[in-house]
Amino acid sequence: MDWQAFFLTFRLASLTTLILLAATIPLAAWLTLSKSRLRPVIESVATLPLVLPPTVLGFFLLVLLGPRTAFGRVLISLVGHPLAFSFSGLLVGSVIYSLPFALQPLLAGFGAVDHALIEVARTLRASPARITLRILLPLARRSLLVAAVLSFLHTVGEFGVVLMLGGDIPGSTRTLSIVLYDQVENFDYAAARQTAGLLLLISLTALLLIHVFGQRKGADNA
Amino acid sequence: MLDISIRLTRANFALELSATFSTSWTVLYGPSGAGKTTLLRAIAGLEKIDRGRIHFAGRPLAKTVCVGYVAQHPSLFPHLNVFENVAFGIPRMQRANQQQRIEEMLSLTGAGHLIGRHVNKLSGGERQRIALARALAPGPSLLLLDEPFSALDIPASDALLNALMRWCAENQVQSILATHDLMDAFALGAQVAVLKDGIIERLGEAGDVLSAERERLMALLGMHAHARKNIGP
Repeated sequence: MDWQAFFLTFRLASLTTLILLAATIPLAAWLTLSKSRLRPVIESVATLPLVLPPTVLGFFLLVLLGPRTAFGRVLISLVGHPLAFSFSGLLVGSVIYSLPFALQPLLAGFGAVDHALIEVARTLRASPARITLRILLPLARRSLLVAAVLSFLHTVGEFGVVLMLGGDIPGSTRTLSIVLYDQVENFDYAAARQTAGLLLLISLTALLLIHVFGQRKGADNA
Repeated sequence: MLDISIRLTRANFALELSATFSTSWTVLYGPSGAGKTTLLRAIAGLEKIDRGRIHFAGRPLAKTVCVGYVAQHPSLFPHLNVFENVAFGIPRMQRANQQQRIEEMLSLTGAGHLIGRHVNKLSGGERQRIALARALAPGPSLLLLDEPFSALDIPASDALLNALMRWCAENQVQSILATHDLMDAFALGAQVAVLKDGIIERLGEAGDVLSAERERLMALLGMHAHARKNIGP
């Protein structure tokens, strides 16, 4: 078992999940509370990674984060090194790639909260931040859990974006899915079975977490 | 003093009115669908108006004026208990003062014994009392009540209304109450605005404004009595 790849994957998935939740909770709350006309545009852009082939997304990110674009040059000056083929670049790619898996459950959960409660909070002069923290998030706890777990799992399982953007650098960009690919390519099926089994176990445990914990939270709210 | 001049259109409905509500209590009287709820919601800032203005005490009714709003079907926060629901509107108050304020408001609305209860276990009348306490807790300058006692029986409703009127007088709170009940309109209104199809038909003292409505209802009762007599046993 490649434990270095395991811990790298775990670190990448954890950081991606944290960044995504920090970004998508305010975004979903804003889209829910403001009834902005930009919502279809923002939702479409945010959902794009869901339908784009990962290699296409990886290619665009590779170009975008490289020194040939102004955005890439700004990032390089901030980080101090090119983002492509580095853990930081992989993190940027993972965040973009898993964005819809965090945003969509939150939008669905916030949208299901009784609008009359939001109106009551507004008449009590609650700020959007307070409405989000005290009304939307507690009442959409299951959606928050789903968003976190799906973001984590999707990052653990990503392959195309990692390969295009990160390559296969041990300790830096080699994740479990890349290790599995390498093992199969080298006909090391015994090791591949272990890696694939571990990935299966992680996914199954996380999904069980949603169903068991999520149902209990739902029952608490009833 | 509340000065309103607004126009608001929805799919099958338009509200267009200019009025000055100058007394401490105003009753919005009218049948269902007349626009009472829409008007209260517009004043509360929950409905976007097409054009016009809403001034309170000579200034635009901006977010700086604390407005209390109690809907006909009160929505209590289901994940919070009674205490937390009432506390929601006063987050910056010091803990001891907040506790005292909440107890005071719940006592005023006759719901002091419900303080620790979960809101899912409350009756319709109890929910209305909590919603009222929650709207009063921040100390509004303007109180908007949309048939707020519809789930209470008449004695309970009268007792609560009397307590509320005393509190509003002591705290100089201007109140507007929407009702379709003529008795409520008579009992309460120093000023009554009769609303019909999105416009204010009449505005003035209860006795004057509602006399026509009273005569219409009396005539209707007479017609019913006559019809029953003619059918006979």
